[in-house]
This record gives sequence, structure tokens and C-alpha cells, in this order.
Amino acid sequence: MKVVLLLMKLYLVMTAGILVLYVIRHYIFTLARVFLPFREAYLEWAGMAKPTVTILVPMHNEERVCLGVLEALARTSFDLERLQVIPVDDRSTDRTGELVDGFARDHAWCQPFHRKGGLGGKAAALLDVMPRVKGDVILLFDADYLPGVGLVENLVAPFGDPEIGAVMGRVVPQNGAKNLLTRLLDLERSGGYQTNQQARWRLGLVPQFGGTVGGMRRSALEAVGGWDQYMLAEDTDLTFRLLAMGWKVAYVNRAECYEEVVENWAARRKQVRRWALGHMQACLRHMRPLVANPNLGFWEKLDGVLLLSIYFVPPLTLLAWLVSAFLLLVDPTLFPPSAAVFIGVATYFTVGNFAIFFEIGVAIALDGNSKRLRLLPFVFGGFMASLFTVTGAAFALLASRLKGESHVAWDKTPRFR
Amino acid sequence: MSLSQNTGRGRIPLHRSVRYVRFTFQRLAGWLVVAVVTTGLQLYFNQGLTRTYGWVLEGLLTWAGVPFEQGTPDQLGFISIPSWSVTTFNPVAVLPGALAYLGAGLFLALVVWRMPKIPFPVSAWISLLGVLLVVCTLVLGLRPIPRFTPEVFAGLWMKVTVATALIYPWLWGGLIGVLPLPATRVFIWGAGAWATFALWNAIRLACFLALARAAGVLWLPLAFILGCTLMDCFVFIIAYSRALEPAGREWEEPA
Repeated sequence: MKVVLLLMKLYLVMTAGILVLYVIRHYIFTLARVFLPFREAYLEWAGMAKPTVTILVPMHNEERVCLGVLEALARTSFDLERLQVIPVDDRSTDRTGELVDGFARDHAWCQPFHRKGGLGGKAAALLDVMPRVKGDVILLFDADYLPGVGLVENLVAPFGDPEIGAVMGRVVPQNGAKNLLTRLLDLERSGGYQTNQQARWRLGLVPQFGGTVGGMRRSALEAVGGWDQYMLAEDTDLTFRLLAMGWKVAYVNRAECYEEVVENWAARRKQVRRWALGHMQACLRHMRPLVANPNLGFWEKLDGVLLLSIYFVPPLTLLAWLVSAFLLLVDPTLFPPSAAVFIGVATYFTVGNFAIFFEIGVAIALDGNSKRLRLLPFVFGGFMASLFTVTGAAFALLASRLKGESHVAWDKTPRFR
Repeated sequence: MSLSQNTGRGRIPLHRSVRYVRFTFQRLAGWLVVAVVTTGLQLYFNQGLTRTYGWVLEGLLTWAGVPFEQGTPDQLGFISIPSWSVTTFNPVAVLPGALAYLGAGLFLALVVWRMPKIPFPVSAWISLLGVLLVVCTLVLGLRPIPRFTPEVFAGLWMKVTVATALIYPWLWGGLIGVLPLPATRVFIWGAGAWATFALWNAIRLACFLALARAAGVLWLPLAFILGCTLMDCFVFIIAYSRALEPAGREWEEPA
């Protein structure tokens, strides 16, 4: 029994250590974003580099939104002579194919690709469409996105730097005012992009390519082996494959694109579960090569490790709470007798987890929509929901690994427009 | 490239993406002085503050008709930490009780989780309660005489409360004081959050002791995990969000 108790206490200490690392990381990001002068992602170069661009828009049963993204792209300020847009109709059973074909009849730069079979998932669809891609730079938009007039130019500008392999823009919900969930997701997006991604770019760490409102150099994509159709989070996978080969990911905070966030908790749960599964899958694949990579600096590696491991934190936390409940009943002397250490531990347990809220709060203030701050406490509810969903995803991944399955099932996000 | 532009019709506000805040050492130093003073005041008046807390707590217990006794005081550094005790029992020491609690825990954890009508965050909270209930039932079933008594619980709770209250001004000053916000607002919301935190903790401790007497020792760890680690953060976030509210356009870089 003593050994079990000791192991449990060691587990709690280890979990607390990991959580403290994340807390420090969030505080550093937030303070860096607030106080360090802004780093533009090469926007002064916009229009100078003249690459040809292919925009891929994967669509699986997107009849409700597919024309919106194409009509928005039709208004782009980017030179249409150098632009190819490929709506990737991925095994749709609704009117998506018919609608994009109708649109393409009036717009020569729009060249739909219809995919009738094969594996499900975005990466599989992107893999199949690659032989049709003509551009030097590939940009990706999800079907529910509404790119602004100058967005393509802003996203293409960083590719003037030969070190940049991929670029990521900022995602802004367009249906944020719909209900409490969409308002909370709006806050989360603000924190994730305005503070977190921007700070990582500013500090020379690892901004993440998010698979939409972004793109990559085609030569870089080919150099790292192209899309892997078995990866659920093809964006995270690509970020780390590019990083391993020495490419950088640029984050363009000013390149804002509107998206439609999910409007009910059931859809949100599915979405988080998919992200968690994909991210954990990428973590298992890239963790070791990342740590062993001799070409990356210490801080890049540390940020990469923390980014890859982020979806393992909720199950660790949940288990730590259960272990704490057990230990409190069996052996209540959890805290060391030293007053100084106790104060540190107590503070961590009470307000330590505040870091993520600090990040979101600052992002909202920077965005200038400070009335939205009144909703910040409700993010707590979303946090709890994600805790359980991600823990469930971790068990699902473990089960699929034990069964020897090579990939996990893909769920489509429903549309609400 | 200039980040702001003057078109001859006045300066165009900076795009929200490029805003940042000038760090001023004076602002940080000022708030750290406030933190030193307020922490010092808490240390100097520690006996009076813990006594006031005790009066509130004992008043609540008396009002609710919960008999209690003073526990053995403990120390946190040189600060004397009071404690309270209530008679309690182990509700799962007998088989029917154990089965009832285990059943309730499993019901909450499994059935509520699958009910489609309940909003997902609510079902997540209830599920957490259910899982913790199952863990506590199993532990108390195997170990009928728990070492985690209401007195130990109250002492630990008080230590956490005192420690958090002491370090609170530093967090508030260091994290919010550095931001360009009106000083009076930061101070008022900071003091309000501190007082709310203390009062909220006293109310919860009274509830938990009453629950320990009425429903057994089983509830103490649940109260500690759910109450201590999560709800204090919640109070802090509410105050933080209200203190930060006037921030916005003034966060632009000076021209």
C-alpha cells in the first residue's frame, strides 16, 4: 500500500510540474504579446513576390456554404491570371458538385475536382487533388470560410522569404453572436490567435499551421513527402514535418478570415474529439524526431513538445483529481510542512489555472471588444466539457492502438448557415 | 512600413492585429508597492482577519443550526490557523449505504452523461461529481475510518485560504496592474475580488461542514477538489474580466 501511495504522490507531483510548465508558457505568451513590439509577417512585401497560387477548398456535403467561399474568392484583389481555385468535391452526396460546377462555368479560374471514392478525411482528398495543382503556393480554405478581398495577397507575402515553408492567418468567427457557445468559441479563437499564435511568431517559436486560412510552398510540401491520408490532423502533422526539414511557419495576424463556428454542444464535442485524436496521433509520430532534431534550438523544441502534448493534459488533470480525492481520504498530509512551499502549492491550486483566462482576456482587450469580457467566466464551462471529451478521445486512441488500427475515423463538422 | 497612417483627415486607428502596449516600469513598480503594503497589512492584522473569518463562519453554522466545536489550531509560518470540527460518520461503512452511494455515483457518471437534453458542460460537471463520488465510496468502503476528518479538512481549507489571500495582491498587481487600466478600477475590483474570495470561502466551508455532519465524511474530498481547485479560480476570473473591461482602443501604440 505504501508503494501505491508513493506512486500516487509522485504522479501528482509530476502532473503539477507539467501543468506549471503550461501555466508559465501561457503567461510568457500573453506578456510577450502585450509588451513586445509587433512583428509583421512580411506584409510590406505584399504584391512584390509574384508566385502562381492554387487555392484548395475541400468540400464534403457543403451545399449550404460552398458558394459563399467561392463568391468571396471571386472578389479577391489577387491577380486572377496567377490564380487557380479548386473546389475539391469530396464524395458529396448532396448538391455540392452541381453547385460548384455551375459556378465554374462563369469563372475560368475555378476548376472543380470531383472525388468519388477513397478514404474519408481532408488529407485524403488533398492527396488526390495534388496532380491538378499548378501553383507555386497552395492556400487552403474550409468551405464555410469567407476570405476578404486582400487576404490572398497577405497570405502569399511571407513566401518572399525562402525560409518560410507555410503560412497561417487568423480565424475569426462570423456567427459569434448566435448563442452562448458561439460567443465562447469567439473568445477562445481570440486567445488562440491574437495572443497565442502571434506571441509564438514574435518569439521565434513554433506557430501552428491550422489547415485552413493558410498555405504552404508546393516545393516544401513535396520535399516533406506530401499529404498523409492516414493523419486526422494533417495540419499539425505538416507543421512538424516542415519544422523537421528546417522550414518555418509564418503567422499573419492581420490576415483575418471569417469562419462559421459550431452552434451546438453535440457538434462541438465531435469537433474537439476529432482535433484531440488527430493531435495525439501527431504527437505520437513526431515527439521523438522533434526532440532528437539537431537543427532546432532548445526553445523551439520545448515549445514544439508542449504544443504536441497539449491534448494529453486534460486526461492527466482528470486522473490527478481522482488520485487527489483518493489520497485525501487515505493520507491527508499531501502538502509539505514548509510554509513557503505550501503557499506556492496553494496558490497554484487556486489561481494557477488562471493563465489561459489571462491570455483570452488580453486578446479580447487588444481586439477592442471589451464588453465580451463579461463572458470570460463562462469559458470555465467549456473547459470542463473539453476535459471530458479529450479524455474520451485519449481512451479511444489507446483502444484503436491496442486493436492495431492504423487510422481513426473522421467526422464531418455540421454547417449552420 | 509604418503601422499607422495619416491620410490628412486625422490618424487612422491602428488595426487591432498590430496593437501592443508600452511597458512602463513605473506602473509595475507602483502596483508592486501596493502589493507589498497590502500583504504587509494582512500579515500585521492576521489575527483580526482570521478571527473575522471565524465569526462569519461560526455565524453561518449557528444560523444553519449545525453544532460545531473549535478544532486544534495549526500554524502557517507565524500565522495561527484556526480549525473547526463537527461530528460526522462514514455513510458507506455499511453495505446498503455503500451500494446507495456507489449506485448514485455510477448513475451520475454514466446515465447523465448520455442524456441528450442536458447541455454538455452541465453533464460534464455532473459526471465529474459522479466519478469522484465513486472513487470516494470505494476508498471509504475499503478504509472505514478515514483520516480526513472535518477538522483536518477545515484546517487545510483555512491554510489554502490564508496562503491565497496573502499572495493575491502580488498576482493582481503583477498581472493586471501592468496593463494600461485606470488605477482606481484595478484597485476596487482587486479589493472586491479579495473580499469576495474570503466570504465565498467562508460560506463554502460552512456548507461543507454542514454536509459532513448531515451526509457524512464522504463529501469532504469532493468539496476540496471541486470547490478549492476550481471555484476560487472562477471568482478570480469574474473580477478580472470586470477589471479589464474598459480596455480597448486605448491599448493602441502611441503615435
